[in-house]
Amino acid sequence: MSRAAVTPPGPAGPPFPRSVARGRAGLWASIVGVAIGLLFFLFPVYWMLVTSVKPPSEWLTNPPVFIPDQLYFQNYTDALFNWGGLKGLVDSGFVAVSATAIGMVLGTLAAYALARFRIGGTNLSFFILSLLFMPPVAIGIPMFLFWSALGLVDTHLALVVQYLTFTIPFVAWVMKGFFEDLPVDREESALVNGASRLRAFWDVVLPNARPALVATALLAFIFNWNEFSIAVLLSRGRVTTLPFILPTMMESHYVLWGDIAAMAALGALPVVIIAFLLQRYLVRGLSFGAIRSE
Amino acid sequence: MMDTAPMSRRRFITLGARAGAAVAVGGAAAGLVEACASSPTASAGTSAPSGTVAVEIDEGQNASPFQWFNADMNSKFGATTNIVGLPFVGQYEKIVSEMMTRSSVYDVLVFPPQMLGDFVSNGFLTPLSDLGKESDFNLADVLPAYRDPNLRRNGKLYAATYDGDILQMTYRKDIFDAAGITQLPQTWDDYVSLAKELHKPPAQYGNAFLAARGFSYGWFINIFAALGGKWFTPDMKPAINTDQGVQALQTLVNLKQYAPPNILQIGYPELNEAYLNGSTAMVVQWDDLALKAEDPSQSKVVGKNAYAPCPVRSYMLYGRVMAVSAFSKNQQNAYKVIQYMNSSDVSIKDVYDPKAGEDPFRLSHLDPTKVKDHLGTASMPPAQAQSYVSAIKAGLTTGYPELSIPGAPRYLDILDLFVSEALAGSLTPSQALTQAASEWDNITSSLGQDNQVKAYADWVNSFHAAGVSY
Amino acid sequence: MTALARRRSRWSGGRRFALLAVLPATLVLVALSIFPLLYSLRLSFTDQQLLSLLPARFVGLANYAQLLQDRLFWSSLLVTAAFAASVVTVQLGVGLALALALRRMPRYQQFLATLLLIPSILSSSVASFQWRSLFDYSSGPLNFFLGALHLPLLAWTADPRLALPSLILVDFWQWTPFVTLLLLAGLHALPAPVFEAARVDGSTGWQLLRYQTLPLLRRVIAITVILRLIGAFKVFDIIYVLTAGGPGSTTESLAFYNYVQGFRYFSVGYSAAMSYVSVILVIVLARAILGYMERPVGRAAAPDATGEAAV
Repeated sequence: MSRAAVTPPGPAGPPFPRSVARGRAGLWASIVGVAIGLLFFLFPVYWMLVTSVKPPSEWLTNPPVFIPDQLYFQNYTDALFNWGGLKGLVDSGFVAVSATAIGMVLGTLAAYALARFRIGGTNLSFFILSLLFMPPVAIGIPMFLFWSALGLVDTHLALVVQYLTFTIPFVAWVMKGFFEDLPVDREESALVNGASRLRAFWDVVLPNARPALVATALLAFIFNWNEFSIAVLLSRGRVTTLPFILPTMMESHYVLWGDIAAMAALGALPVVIIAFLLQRYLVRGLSFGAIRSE
Repeated sequence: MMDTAPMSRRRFITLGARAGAAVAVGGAAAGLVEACASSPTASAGTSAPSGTVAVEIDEGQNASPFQWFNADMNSKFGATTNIVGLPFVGQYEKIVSEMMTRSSVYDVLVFPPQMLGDFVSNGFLTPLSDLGKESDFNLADVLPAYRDPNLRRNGKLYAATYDGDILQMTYRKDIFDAAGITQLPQTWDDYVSLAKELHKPPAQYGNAFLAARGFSYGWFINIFAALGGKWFTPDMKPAINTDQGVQALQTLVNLKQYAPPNILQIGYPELNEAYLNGSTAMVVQWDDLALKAEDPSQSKVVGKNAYAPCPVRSYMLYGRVMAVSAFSKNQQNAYKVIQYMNSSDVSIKDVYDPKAGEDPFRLSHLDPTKVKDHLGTASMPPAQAQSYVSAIKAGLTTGYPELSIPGAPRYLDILDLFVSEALAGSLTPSQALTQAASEWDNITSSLGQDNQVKAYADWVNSFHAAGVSY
Repeated sequence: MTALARRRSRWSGGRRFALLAVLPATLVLVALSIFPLLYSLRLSFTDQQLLSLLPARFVGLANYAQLLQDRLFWSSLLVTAAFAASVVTVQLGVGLALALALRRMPRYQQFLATLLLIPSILSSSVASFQWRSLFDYSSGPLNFFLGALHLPLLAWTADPRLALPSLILVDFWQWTPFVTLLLLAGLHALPAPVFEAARVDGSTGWQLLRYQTLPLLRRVIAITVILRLIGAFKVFDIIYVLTAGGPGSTTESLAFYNYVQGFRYFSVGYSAAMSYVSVILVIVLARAILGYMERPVGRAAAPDATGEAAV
């Protein structure tokens, strides 16, 4: 089975066509294109941030207020304390971190076995991959009945375990592609030197896999942090992740745009910050998963 | 092998439980249970102290009064409330899915009467009469339209009123005066021509109504009622796809022309906003809009408003009642909370508060001098208070009841879909109502034709007994 | 090949370790996915209604037959197809253009790419709320811009004809950056000699793209399309927040309609049948695309370049 060669992005390859005149025009076109793209894709983000610091009198105005006169941070205290944003942050964080951590351990182990030992053949691989395709609502009813029969609806446990259904396949899929490309020589020499399989995995494979692990964990965390459909089905009022809280803010007697934007920003900030801190891994992580799959 | 024997609901649940146990034994979840149980935020096993009553209610303004009176409740009977807020949209599915599992998470349930039929028939509620005396609720002081049909099933008192709710016309007195309009609309044809006359976009829209998915059916029924429409025939044939139905829906579609351009996404907050920002000459909205319209912190039209019942009849859309969960482990305190919140002295404080969404439901509420918020400040000028209270009184004498037989939320949601289809222009009013009626037939047969005929007859009789014409 | 076979045999000794390693993940997935799927299958042959007092009956394929006649099912399928179509046309097209443009800016590429990616790392419920205020008729920025350009104002999600395109716009906004990054990663993985050769031939940029780059990107494109198609079949959040399926049923997707039947009406038998149809549709589509992707391509295979590429 042939696979496209992979170089992680990051420091880019050679500049594209070298035909100078065309290159110049093309470069300018590219810059304009990217600038327009950034404007379009970032304006709503700016709008969220600016709305989150507007006083109520500037929420609904015609013309809209694009630059507020003063910063009004009460929206944030409202979102945090009146609307349960603080608890939302804790719940989201707990659920996302737990699901990511457990998913990483189980998924990485499985990926290693699938990649190195071809365990279960292509069937097991395809089974795990195909779970990524499953619309959550397809298993919604049995999923709900299962958790309610255990008396665990609206618990952290239910969300964490349920999130594993997409976290494990995702991790396994990305890491499998990575392990397949990792040279076996060093593991082999470790084995020859008398190390156990587990030791070889622990001491040799994992350290080499660090960038891929970070990238995968980062993406898995983002997916878990943002999850909404399963939370809607399984949450009531005790476990309230941030994406779940937002719709409850909509049906007040009047739309609290500032509070909603503040809550949205609270939900967005952690992932955006982590994404920028780990940007090297983020861009690369996408390529690990993207370039290959079986 | 497929099991072809009938599957009872109980069995359905136990089946799920067995399967669940099987998985747990499989060890998949076992390790995680430990992992999460040690987390300080995991609330799985924690049970509330018995002095805390868990109140299920839609999140937002309607939940506030339960918090205002916590200290007082604590001093009177040693219990406080803990609000478990649910999103307004999706409240029904969340309550039902929770209660199907006999969960004891909620002690008090606050919900609209349209759900009462389902909740009682599925055994979700403990009758209040089993926990105390009916006299605790001073029913004689509750307006007849809000009384038995919304509270009683099979002769037992299951619920107590929390929120009245009726549709009302709120209009701009200044605009009416300037246009020389002295006669309020007596029919829906009058209302349409008035909306047309006052429609001067984009500065001023003739009218607005709730046309977004979810409650658009209410504004249809409001007109349908005026034309003499009924929900069903006595043998449970849908009666919405009649001449009155088509005419009512056509009227609503016509009103769209004299409304703001984004009318199809106008939901409850947007409808308030359309009026409060001064851009709309008149609206039909729940009666609590009046309190917001006279509140300077929310309204640009303070002092310019007057209130009237809807032409011919006013639809008693939605409303809220309180009941004790059959699975609550704290039923006595739940009962006390309900009794407290329902009492004349307490309810008078939230039905006239602009920060809450509750509407008058007691005879003793209907006194203009009592229009004050929970801190005792007058919540509107005397003239407006007079107009508001008279409008509620007049509206209730012609109040049209909301369906609350088993399956009602589903009948209403289907109706809403098809009203919305007609408003969107995807179907003609006649096509829309014909399709809605055929869906209604399916619901009826899935719930059992005989059960439904009887439930509907009982429900109609309870209105007749309360003196509400239907 | 023989070297590979030799290598493989040396590894076969670790089967026990491999079994132990793959077991926990498999158990969890089987328990949480296979069991519900089988349970759903069984439900789909009954007329189970959670709220009805009548006992459920075995009805064979009646639910599936009813689906075929359900106008709302078909219209929700069309809505889902519209999302899917926009994915493979607009999102892919714009994503490719942006990826090619970013490829020309090696210097700030990583930073720009991360900046661009922000919409895709936001929760779709967060995204939906921002768009709800952007779409606002009288005080939303979009209509303000239209007004400033002397264009007629739009009612966006309140206009039956525009509601679905508006949601597709939100989906486009949220996911095109993700598509861009996947394609950019794919571009970086292309073997450089291809371009050298093409340049010697004097190919124009367009020819290079059409006959060299795109065929080589086929695999990445296929994966991108699959991921986004899955997304299209899952579209629920933005509908839930922005339109609740309205006006009429113009924005009811398959996932949303399924939610209504299963969780609002508690017609769990019917809803299970619908779930099955959507799962089968997604798997068939994904398999077809994967099959297309695996077809041999006319290019120099470089299987062993993979080894050193990682890390």
